[in-house]
Amino acid sequence: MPRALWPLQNGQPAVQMELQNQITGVSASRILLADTGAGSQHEPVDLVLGTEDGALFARRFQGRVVSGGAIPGHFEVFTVTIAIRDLSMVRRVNAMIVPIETLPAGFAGIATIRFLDSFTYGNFGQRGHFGLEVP
Amino acid sequence: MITLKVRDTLQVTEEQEKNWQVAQRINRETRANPQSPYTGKYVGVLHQQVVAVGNTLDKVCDQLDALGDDDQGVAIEANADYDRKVMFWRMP
Repeated sequence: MPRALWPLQNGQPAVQMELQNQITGVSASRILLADTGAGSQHEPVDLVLGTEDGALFARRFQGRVVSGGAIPGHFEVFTVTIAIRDLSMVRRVNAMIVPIETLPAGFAGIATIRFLDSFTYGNFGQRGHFGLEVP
Repeated sequence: MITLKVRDTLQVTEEQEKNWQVAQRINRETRANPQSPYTGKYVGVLHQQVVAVGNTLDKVCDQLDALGDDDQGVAIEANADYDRKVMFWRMP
């Protein structure tokens, strides 16, 4: 099974991915907090990204959601194309676009449980790491 | 030039807004009716009509792209709960 494994960032689980804009050809690598406590399987939010990355990589408007807790407010959801090379994966996901100051320090965004649970996730026996595996 | 183009993507157009209103109604109807033909599907709405149905977000977006919709169509997961609050429990 393809597996991607990354070192913890400031002791927190992280996933690294490339954000792509298939119209402009722009792409950039980003590290997101892997937060199993973010969102749920039921809401249509895979990632949370800041407005700067939203301006560069968001593409198709997907509606609005209400968010609470550490990121309260009404936010728009857009499709974003991501790639994780170690998983040989390129796909569109739903990203909620929020003000940058609401994102966790040291991270470009959040990968929610909905995104993480589309893989097998964990440290796969390697302490100090977090990874995703294609089921 | 590119910068102007990508900044525009965060501006929701009137057409996108209308498509979202239709998509939201379909979403609520689908969640209320498990027998809906859209149960378990992704649905693409363009010009306030369903124009694409598929099993993945990529498939429906590809169908909308093929129609040359200039990203004006909305692709929703029919069963996802757009009305439920998305909670983030960590400290900011």
